[in-house]
Amino acid sequence: MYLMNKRLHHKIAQFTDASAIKAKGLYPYFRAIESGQDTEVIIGGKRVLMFGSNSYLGLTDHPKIKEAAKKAIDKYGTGCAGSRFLNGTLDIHVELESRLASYVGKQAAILFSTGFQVNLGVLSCITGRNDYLILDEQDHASIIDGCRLSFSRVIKYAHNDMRDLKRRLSMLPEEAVKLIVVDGIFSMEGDIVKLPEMVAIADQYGANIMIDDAHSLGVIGHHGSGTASHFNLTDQVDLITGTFSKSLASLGGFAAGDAETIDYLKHKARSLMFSASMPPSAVASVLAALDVIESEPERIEKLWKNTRYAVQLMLAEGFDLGITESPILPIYIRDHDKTFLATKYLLDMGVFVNPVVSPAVPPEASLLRFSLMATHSFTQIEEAVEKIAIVFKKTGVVSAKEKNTMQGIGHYNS
Amino acid sequence: MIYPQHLCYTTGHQWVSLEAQYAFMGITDFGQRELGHIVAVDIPYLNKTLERNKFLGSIEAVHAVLDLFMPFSGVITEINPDMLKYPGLINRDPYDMWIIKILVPLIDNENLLLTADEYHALVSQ
Repeated sequence: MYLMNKRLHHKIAQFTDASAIKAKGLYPYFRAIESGQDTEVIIGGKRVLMFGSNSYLGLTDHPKIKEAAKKAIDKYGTGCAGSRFLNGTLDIHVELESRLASYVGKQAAILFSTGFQVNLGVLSCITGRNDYLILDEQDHASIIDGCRLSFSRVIKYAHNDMRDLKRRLSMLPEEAVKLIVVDGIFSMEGDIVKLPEMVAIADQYGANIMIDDAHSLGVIGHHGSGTASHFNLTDQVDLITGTFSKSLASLGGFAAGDAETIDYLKHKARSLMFSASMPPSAVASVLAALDVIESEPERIEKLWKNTRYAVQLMLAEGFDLGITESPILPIYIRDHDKTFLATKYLLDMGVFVNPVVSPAVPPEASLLRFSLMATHSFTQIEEAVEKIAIVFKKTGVVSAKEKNTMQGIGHYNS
Repeated sequence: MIYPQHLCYTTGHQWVSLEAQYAFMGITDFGQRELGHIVAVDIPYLNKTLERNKFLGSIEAVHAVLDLFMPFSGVITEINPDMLKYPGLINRDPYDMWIIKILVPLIDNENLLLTADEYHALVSQ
C-alpha cells in the first residue's frame, strides 16, 4: 500500500521568525513573572519595574477585590460547568450585567468569557450577508477575526481618518445595514477615536456605531466608563463592548446596548452560547473592581497625573510619542532590530516594556509600548525614563530631539 | 477679588480647572464684575474640535459682551446646563459655575495658561 507523507510538521517548521530572535538572545515574549502583577514584578528572581501592563488602575492586587474573589469561590465554587445559555448562569452574572449596563449608560448587557470572544460573538452574528462592517485599519485582532466569521462585507478606512470614513460610507447602498466598529482607545498608538466627527458622519449616512472600550474602561469617561461617556455621546453609540482583563483586574468581557439587541446576541452569539461562562471568582472580582472605581475616584486622577508626568519627562528627553492621547505611550524607535535590542537591554536593567513590531505595526513604526498605572510612583517613572534614555544612546536610537537638531529644523531649550 | 490658586487662567479672564483628562472653563471674578449682570451665554461649538485661541462662544451681559477663546486645542464635550438656564449664576459664583467642559490634549508643547499669581498681576495693572 502506498503511504502518503504526513506534511503538518514540515509546514510548521517553515515558521522561523521566533527561533531567529531566540538565536540572537533577544526573544521578548512569554516572559514569566514570578510575582503579582504590580508596578514592580519579579522576573528571573530580579526586581523589574512594570511599564507593560494593561492594569491601568493597578487593581489586580487590591485587597477588597482579592477578598471578593475568595468569597465567591467559597460560595459558588471554582467553575460554572457550562455556558450561560444552559446551566452556567449564576445570580452574580446577572447582577454584573445590570451593573455594567448602568455603568456605561445602556439598557442591557451580556457577559462573555473573554474580551476576544465578545467581538467574535457579536460581529459574527450581528449583520447579514448584504450588510457592511466598517473598520478602522488599526482595530484590534478580535474585531478583525469577528469580521472574518461574518457573512457581511468588510471595509476598512485609514486610521482615525474621518474623511476617508466618510468617503467610503458615501459609496455604500442606502438600504444596507452599516455598522462602524472601532476601538475607543487604540491599543498600540494610544490615540482616541474621533467620536464627535464619527457620530456626525454616521448620522448622515445611516450607519450604526460599535465601540470596543477594552483600553478605555477605567481610563476615560465619567468614573472611567469609557469613550462614549468621555465625549458625552453615549446615546449616539449603539453598542459598547469591553474586557475585564485590563482596568477591571480580571478576565472576561461584555457587550452593552439596547435590550432588544442584547437579547438577540444572547440567542445568536456562538462564542457565548458554546463556551463556559465566567467563573465565579472572576465575576466577583469585576463587581468589586467597579465598587473600587466608584469609591476611589482618585485612582483615575492619579493615572492621568502619572501619564502627564511621563509625557513631560519623555518629551524633555526628545522621545517620539506619536499621537497618543492616553496612558498608552508609544515610544517610536522605527527600527525592528533596535526595538528588540532596546527591550532586552531594558529588561536587563530592570524595566519591562513591550516591543511592538511588524506585523502589528508597519516596520517603520516599530515602537516600545510604555503604559502607565495609577499605582506607579513618580520615582518609578523617573527611573524608567532615565533608563530608556540610556538604552537609546547605547542602541543608537535617534530620539526626536537629536533628529531635529541634526536636520536643523527644530530648536529645543532643555 | 478672589483668584483660587488651584486654577489656571487666560489673559481673556477665563479660568481653567484641569481634572484628569478634562478641563472645566468659566470666567473669573474680575471678568464677571467687568461684565456686570450676565443675561445669556452662547456656545455654538458643542462636540467640535477647536484649535487654541479660536473663538468658542460669547457671554452677553446687559451692557457688554465678552468673547471666549479656546485655552488649548480640544473638543467641547459639555455645556453646563444649569449655567445655560440661569446665566446670572455666573455673577453669583463665577468659580463654581463652569461654562464648558473641554477634553485636554495630552501632548501640548505650548502651555500659555497663567498661574493665579500671574493673572492677579495682570488684572492689577
